[in-house]
Amino acid sequence: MDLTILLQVILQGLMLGAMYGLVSLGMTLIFVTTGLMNFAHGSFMAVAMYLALSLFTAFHFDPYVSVFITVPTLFIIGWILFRFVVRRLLEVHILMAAQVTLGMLWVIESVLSTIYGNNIQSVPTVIGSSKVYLGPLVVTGPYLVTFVVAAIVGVLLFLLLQKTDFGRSVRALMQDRKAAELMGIRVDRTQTAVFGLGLALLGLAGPLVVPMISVSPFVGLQFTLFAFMIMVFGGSSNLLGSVVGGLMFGLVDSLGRFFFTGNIASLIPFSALVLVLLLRPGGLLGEK
Amino acid sequence: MLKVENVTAGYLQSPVLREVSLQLEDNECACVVGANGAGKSTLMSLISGLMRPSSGSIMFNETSLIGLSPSKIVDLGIIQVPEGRRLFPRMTVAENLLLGARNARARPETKASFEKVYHLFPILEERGKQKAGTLSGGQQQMLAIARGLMAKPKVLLLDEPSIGLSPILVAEIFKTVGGLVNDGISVLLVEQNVRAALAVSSHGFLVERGRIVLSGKSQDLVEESAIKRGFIGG
Repeated sequence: MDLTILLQVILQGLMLGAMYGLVSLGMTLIFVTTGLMNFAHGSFMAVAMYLALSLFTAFHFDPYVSVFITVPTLFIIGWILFRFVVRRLLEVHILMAAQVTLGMLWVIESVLSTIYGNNIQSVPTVIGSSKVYLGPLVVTGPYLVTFVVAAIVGVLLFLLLQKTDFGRSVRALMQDRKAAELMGIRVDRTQTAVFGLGLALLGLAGPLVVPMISVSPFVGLQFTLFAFMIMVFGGSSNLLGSVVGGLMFGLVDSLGRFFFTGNIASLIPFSALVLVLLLRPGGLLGEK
Repeated sequence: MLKVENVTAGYLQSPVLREVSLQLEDNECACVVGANGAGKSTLMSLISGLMRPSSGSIMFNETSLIGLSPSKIVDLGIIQVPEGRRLFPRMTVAENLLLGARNARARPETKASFEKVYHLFPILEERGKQKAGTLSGGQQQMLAIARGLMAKPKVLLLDEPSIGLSPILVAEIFKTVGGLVNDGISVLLVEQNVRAALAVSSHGFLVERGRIVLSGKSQDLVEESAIKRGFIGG
């Protein structure tokens, strides 16, 4: 078996995994600042992907251009949804808020199905067939762009959390909510911004991966599951864990699809997760 | 001046606090003492806006605190150092202090505040880059108080600062607390250690099962038998 091909599979897996990591990071940020499990997380990614499709169909926008529209759009959607719907339910009971995200999952699926039909679709990009040579390995344009963008955004997020006032407020809220309130941190505002940010990350990931991953109205739940698995894999309250988990997930998934086919390949990442949790119940980087 | 009047709070059937009244004058240190579960921490939560009373009033000078959000109450200069420290464990000492100074009044004076608290607690400057969760109990308490001071408090609410500390550390910390009134800070001290609390305050209130059963000048209260019964660390 050709080692080059194996390395290529690994490389592509890691590159895509970086973006999965960002998607999961958004979900983790929402979880640690609000305690809410966003069941509709993957659905919003699907929304972003379909937005890219529409922008292509209507205006021939390349997905890499659509990103500049989908990111602010998803942020605003997230902000409004949290501010007017989720937050009120959170005040009542966290389970009600979780329930509403579950509801959003089905609503989004139905709406997407009505507008776009049930077929699997993907969006082409001008750099779709361009190749970059890294030594003996070949990487196609979309994979490289996705990885580079994910890396840059990852670093920016790190700087946001470490160096800015807002970032400090988020970390404080994560570590001790009561103390954060006593410092004068506006918990509701911070949570709203984090929710918007989580969805903005989906607005980024959607168009970037749509040249590589096809979309149908029903992928929402699948993406949510992936993001959730990565979150748990990395240690549920650990942000770095989500990134590392994403990379590992991309790797395992890519290798799984290379060596196995169809249904068995889909089982590989789940099996890996179960294995890791058996050995380290807190996740890879979580607390024991 | 902080004035709590006839405040009742907690569950309808069995309120945690019943018709509690107390006041804290400007530049004064007053203490609220009593056994565990008597309702002392609930009082702190009420003043800080984390809880609402079912009846009664809480006034800071001319402003009513009831219904204000916790962040508005912090903006007014009423700062709580909560029970159990509640530091941000994975953030450094310096970051914890920085977070203390984030309210609008305190922010412009951040640099000066750092100098002040490092002068009061030099060990914190030494350990500036250390994660707060790795400090010893006494150092954590110092950091918690310092973090409260960074917020430029007019009123400092101290909830059980002596818990888990050795008598020597308690004495050291209480000495610092006593000196705060000279800086124009009024201190409301909630404590189980009655002796230490009365020694550092000018007025005291004894809480028993949700009611104020005794109040007066600290030097007078020391003699009361009810207080003597409740002596901890005595």
